[in-house]
Amino acid sequence: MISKKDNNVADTNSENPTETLFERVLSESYVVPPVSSAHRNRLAQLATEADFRSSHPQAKPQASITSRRNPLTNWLTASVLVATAFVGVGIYVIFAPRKASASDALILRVTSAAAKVKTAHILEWRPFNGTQEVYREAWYSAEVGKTGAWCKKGYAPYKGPYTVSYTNLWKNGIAYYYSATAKTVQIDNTQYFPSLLSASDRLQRLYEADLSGRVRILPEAMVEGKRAKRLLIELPNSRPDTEPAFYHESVPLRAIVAVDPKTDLPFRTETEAYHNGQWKLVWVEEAQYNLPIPTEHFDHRFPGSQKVYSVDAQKRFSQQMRATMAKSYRVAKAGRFHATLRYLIGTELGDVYVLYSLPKGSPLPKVLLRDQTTRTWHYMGGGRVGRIVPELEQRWIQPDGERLYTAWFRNNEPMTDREGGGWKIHFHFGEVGGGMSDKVSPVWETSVSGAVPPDDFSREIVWESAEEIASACRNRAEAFRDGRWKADIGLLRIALTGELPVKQRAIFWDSEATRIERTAAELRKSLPSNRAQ
Amino acid sequence: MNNSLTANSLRTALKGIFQSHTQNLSPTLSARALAEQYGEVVFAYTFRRIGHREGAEDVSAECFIAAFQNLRSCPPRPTDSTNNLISHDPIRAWLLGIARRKLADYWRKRKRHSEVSWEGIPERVSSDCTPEQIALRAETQAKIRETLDRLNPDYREALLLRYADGCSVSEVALILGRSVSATDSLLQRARAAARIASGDYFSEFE
Repeated sequence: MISKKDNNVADTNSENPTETLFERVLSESYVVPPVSSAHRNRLAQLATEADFRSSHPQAKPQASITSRRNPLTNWLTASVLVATAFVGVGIYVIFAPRKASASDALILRVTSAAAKVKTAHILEWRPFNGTQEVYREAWYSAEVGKTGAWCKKGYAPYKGPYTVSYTNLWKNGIAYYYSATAKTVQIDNTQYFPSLLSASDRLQRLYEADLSGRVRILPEAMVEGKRAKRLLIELPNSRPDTEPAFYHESVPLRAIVAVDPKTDLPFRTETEAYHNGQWKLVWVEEAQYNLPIPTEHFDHRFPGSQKVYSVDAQKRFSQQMRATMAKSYRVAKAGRFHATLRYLIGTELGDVYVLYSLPKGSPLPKVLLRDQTTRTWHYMGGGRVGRIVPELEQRWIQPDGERLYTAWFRNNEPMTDREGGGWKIHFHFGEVGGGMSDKVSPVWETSVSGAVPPDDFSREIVWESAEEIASACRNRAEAFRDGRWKADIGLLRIALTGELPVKQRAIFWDSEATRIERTAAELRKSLPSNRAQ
Repeated sequence: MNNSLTANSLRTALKGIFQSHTQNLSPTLSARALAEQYGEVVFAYTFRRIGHREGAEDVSAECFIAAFQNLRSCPPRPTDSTNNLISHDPIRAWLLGIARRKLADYWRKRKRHSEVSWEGIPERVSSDCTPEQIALRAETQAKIRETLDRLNPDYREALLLRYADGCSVSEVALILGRSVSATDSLLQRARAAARIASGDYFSEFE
């Protein structure tokens, strides 16, 4: 006869009523939900990395995992990686998750391979409305400060000859922005231009990423006739950097990156945006590596009658803009919609911030800035139309009971003649069905030029927004210098292993922060005169 | 002597069983296999002690990170002659031991063990249960959890490992760092304490 005690010890509890009772009661009282797919993926990613590291002992040890927190904040990983890979390689960068998922073994290999690339040739095309348009062709070199990048923008049937609209060239630390249509070239020698394949550039793009996103590994598949490993990068809410204001608000984005299993280099990425209930392909990038760069692409002696502008043109433009529009605010009406232009900020970087308000319940308009002299669009919203400064909106501003919005126009187009001629802000209400080249016919369109409200809050807006931007840039630089980035982004160190000493890597951030700080100071000085007007 | 096996003889027997199985080990598990085979086990372990998914997943992930970094110390997995897993699983015990330490770190950071609340798990309701029965059952289960929370932590942990997590006594012993006989004694005292603390809930067959 086996005693009760012995029965327990022998782990044969099936016929012991006491054991059975405790087992039943406790198992019923401690019901465990099934493991979530997110957690399962998380463990799989950790395991993949661990296996990778065990087979690659030279790899650095893994950083500690961060807390799960908000799933949207898990971003700076894969995106950054892919960004690192692609960015580094010039392919359009799309972010990386912030936590351990960024350490996915495949991404590590991609990043590592990208860091060894000498040159990259990127072809980007955008299938708007079913057409295939070459949007950008670019060559990148890994040589820092010498031969940077050359890129052409133009439109044509895919893989056919196309008309070049713009050429941007970075060479010997100088940037040339050449407009083939206006036959002008802007020369900017005041900024630090690292090679777009450098660790510095990759780092910057990582920081520019939203730091929230997800990356998954998809099953291998044939891509363009080639066997490929695939990464899926998901951005729950992002702003596709396509045509100006192509999307009014943040939309989910996802990118499928095809990686050559032989070289571990990404050779094709397809980015889709979720719009009107379906995924829509918005752009494709194809990459080739280590090809000899055609030297003719790096000739800065551009043809045609040229006008050369320095960055002083941007500063003058900023002053002109404020002077021209510092009269009174304007209300733009279009049908049953209206928008009120509250303030306009032009920075010496050439960026323009349009602060406008809308009645509650009003749809967000598409906002465009237009130069009446040359009838061309000089500023692209880059999809960044919307509430860029939500804190300010919440804390400060409800002018006339309306909600305040900010449209940020990045200066990524050549500056042309700004002497004479005015500027107009266009508001398009209604469905937007395509990009700039489609001449979308909005339901409602209106325009307004200039405005500075005499109220005190306008000053607060300017100060706060400018300082906030400067603060963000400072934080980036400081986080980089004092090592805080290590806690944020496990992968960053991989992006940084190489080319540049730490101090040099921080230059770009430092420089940018300083420049925007100056802008804030300048705005402060200029405000009294504005108010006097 | 069969009806009066001593703890020592049992330990010897278990050791013999283990040694016999070590001659038939499966290959060392990769990290991925470890995560796939034991992900649910570790999550269930942490969830039963934390009571909500977020914390359980975080601790579980921490546990696996530590495990992956120390794969060399992962015990081999014994199988029987037909290559089936045997009930005593040293890998599970090894992982749960790590999870136990990570759990201690988790509580140390929060310093509020008593404030844990059990995350509601939707119950599968059969058609023959009335809403009153469902509510009564939920209340009973909550009281049982409260009862275990009031027990000596060692008692609570031993009971949960044995009856909720489904560990064998030898696995419980490994996880708690005790001998098998000491663990057996601990379980007996824990059951007695639970009966006293809970009233009728554990007295059905007494």
